[in-house]
Order: sequence, then structure tokens, then C-alpha cells
Amino acid sequence: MIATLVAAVALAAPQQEPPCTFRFVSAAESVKPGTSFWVAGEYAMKPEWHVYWLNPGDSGLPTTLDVQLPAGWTIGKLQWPAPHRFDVGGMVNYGYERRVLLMAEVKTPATAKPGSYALVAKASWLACKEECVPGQGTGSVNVSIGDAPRASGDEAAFEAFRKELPTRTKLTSRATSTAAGYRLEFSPLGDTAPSEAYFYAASGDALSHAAKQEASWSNGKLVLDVKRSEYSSKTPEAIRGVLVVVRGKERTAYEVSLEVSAR
Amino acid sequence: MNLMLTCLAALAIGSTGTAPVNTAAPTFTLTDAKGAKVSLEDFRGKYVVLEWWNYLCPIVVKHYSSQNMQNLQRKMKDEGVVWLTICSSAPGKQGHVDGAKAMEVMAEQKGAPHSILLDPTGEVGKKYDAKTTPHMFLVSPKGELLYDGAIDSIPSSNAADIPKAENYVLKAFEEAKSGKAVSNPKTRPYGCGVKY
Repeated sequence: MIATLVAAVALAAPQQEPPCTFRFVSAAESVKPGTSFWVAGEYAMKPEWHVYWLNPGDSGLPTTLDVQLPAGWTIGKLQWPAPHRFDVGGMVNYGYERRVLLMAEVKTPATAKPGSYALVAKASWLACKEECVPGQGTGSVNVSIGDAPRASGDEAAFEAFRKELPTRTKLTSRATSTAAGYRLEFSPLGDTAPSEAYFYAASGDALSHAAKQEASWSNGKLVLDVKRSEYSSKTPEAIRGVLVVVRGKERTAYEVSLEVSAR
Repeated sequence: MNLMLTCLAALAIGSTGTAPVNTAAPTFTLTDAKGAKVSLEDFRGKYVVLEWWNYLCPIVVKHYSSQNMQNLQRKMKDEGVVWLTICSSAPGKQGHVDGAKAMEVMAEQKGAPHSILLDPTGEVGKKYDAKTTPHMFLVSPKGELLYDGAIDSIPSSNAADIPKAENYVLKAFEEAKSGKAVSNPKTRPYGCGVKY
């Protein structure tokens, strides 16, 4: 029985090398007591493989990161870079290819004594191309509490992925129920019409992932007509998510929460 | 106002092209792993569970390696429920099986479905809008769709989550059997995409 299952898993992953490898990294080697620094799970995928955003879309599973901290230390919410969209056989998934850092900010207590502290992380993911291979990883970093703050060799990667995080720039936004779903409105979004715009709902049962989002633009205002998810049992009070606006090579992401009103 | 919103929601769901719950389940005839023709209508008068299956999908492996799926198959069988395992993987795609392979894999896993149905064209999978493996459906003795969605409440690939999860298929069946409306008739399935 066990032999069969091992064989099945091995068949699912014919390559020796796993499709996704994990590292746990810190942007700081040393920090002053009472200050904050960033840690992250780094997920590196082989070409064509992807892992998933917090809402994976029509299939897949959200990627996870769980960090164990020294006593008295605290950690903020996981920061998800703006996701990308993958159309796999008519089903749409949200996630990341190549490499992604899922970051969180760690706060040390003002009372922390000088010395070296270990932070341990556990991660899980489902990596998919056409087929899927689940993975689990662990990692640890040592961070010193001392007088001289010092960045780690991984700091540059944090800087690169910080640019991928949705901005909190306030947009005026709202959602209005329509027969098929919602009309989403966002402004101000600049002077020129974007070449592409897409709203990624954070909840998997709010909007259809596969349906086309119909965009229109006038005077800095973007309107997206989106279809309700077939799994939506009742109209939510608000729809949270990430709006991605593309102009040529420039991709800007906004974290938004749209209050829903009836027509 | 609330009432109107509810009506709009119902209309919207009805217009997606998938079979809405509490209406007639799409009928079909497929060839089973032994070469026999099997139709949904053959089982009028009995509850029918449809399980979308790709034995190489890690989420399917989660539910078979833990015996969760087989236990549910046996429990349903004891209740007189007909369990149809359907494979919609296209030829050349992950999890595609011919009849012999399907029987071999299911025997090794000690699974107990009534039949394994082969849907290599994906026609029946698309009729039901089966999105993932697993993706579960429950059909009433009258042929109405009672449940469409996930096997349970914890989307993960980790078998350790199964004891903590609520099994939606079992819950829907038990509610229907005791004459109640299924409280959660449509949930979001989780797993690998069906390899159409």
C-alpha cells in the first residue's frame, strides 16, 4: 500500500529536482532592540512552474509561511506581491512564476538582550505547471540584537520585491451590484488609459476568475464590469483585492477594499 | 431590496451554464472501466455521488493515501448510495487512464466506487463544470443536483488536515437523507485543475 503511494508521488514528479525550492531569509543580520526588520519566504520555481497567491483562483492552493519567533517578538501580516494570472486549460489561476518573496515585518522588543536569536519558518506550497507537486520547506535565520544594525546579503532581494507589493495609495473606489456581478469603479488613475487592467479578488468566492473583466476608461476613472463567482452565496459588504493597472511595461498595483452597494 | 438581490443572485447563478443545484443533474452515458455503458438515469431512486478523479494529483493522493476517500466510498455504499468515480483527464494528460489501468490503480488503493467512468473527451466534466480533482457532486434519487463542490472544508494538500475538516459530501447526504435542505449546496472545490 505504502509502496504504491510512494510510486504515485514519484510519477507526479518525474524530475529529480523539485519544481519549487524554499529559503527563509532575513533582510537584517543585526538590529537594535525595539526596532523592526523584514523576513521572507523565498520560493524559487523552475521555468513554467508557478505557486499560488492567497486566492489561488479556480484550482491550486494558497502558499503558506509560518514563522516561529523568540519570546516577546511580534510579526506583521504577510505581504503578498501583486499576483499574475495563468490560464490553464480554460481555468484561471493567480500566482507567481520564477521567484517570489513573501515578506513580513518582525518587531523586536525594546527589552531584548544583546545576543543571537533564531527564527524558524515553515512553508508549504503547491507548485503546478500542467501537473502539480506539493512541497513543504523549513528554514531558519539568526538575527543579532546589538548596537550596530547590519543588513544581510539578501537585502537587495527585499528591495526588489518591495516594488512588487501593492501600494496603499488611496483610490476612490466602489462596487455596484449588476445582474451578472459587479461594476467596479476606481479613480484617480492618471491621465492616460491603461493598456490593461485587472482586479484580483482576495476571496475565492467573490468573483469569477475565468470570466473576462470588461474595462472602460474616462477622465482618470477606470470601470471594470466583473462577473460574480458561481460560489458566491450572498452579496458581500465589501470586496477586497488588488487592482493591477498596466501601461506598457509599467505595472502598478493598488490594494483596495470596495464597498458594495445595490444598483 | 434583499429579496431582489437574492433573485438577481439566483438568476446570475442560473445563467453561468453550469447546472445549478436543486435542478436536474445533467444526464450522461459513459463507458466504465470494465467496458460497460453506464448512465446516470440507471440509478434513479438512489442517491449518486460523482467524484472527479486524477490519481496522480497530490490533492487526490491526500484523500486516498489517508484512506479518507475509500472510507467515504464504503460508508456511502453501506447507505445504498451509488458512487461514480469519473476521470476526465485527456489522453496524454496527467491522470489519464484506460479501463485496465483505472481498475489496477483503484484495486491497489482498495477504493470501493460502484464504477470508474472514463470521460477522455471531457464532455461530462464540462457539463458539470468539474474544475478540480477532487470535485464532488451529490445527485438525489429524483436526479436533482443536491451538492456541487469541495470534498471538505480545509483546502490543503496535507492529510493531517482531514480529521479537522468537515466533510461536505457526507454532510449534504445526511441532511438530504433526513429530509432537510442541504445547508451548503455549493462550495468552492479545491485541488488540481481537471486535465481536460
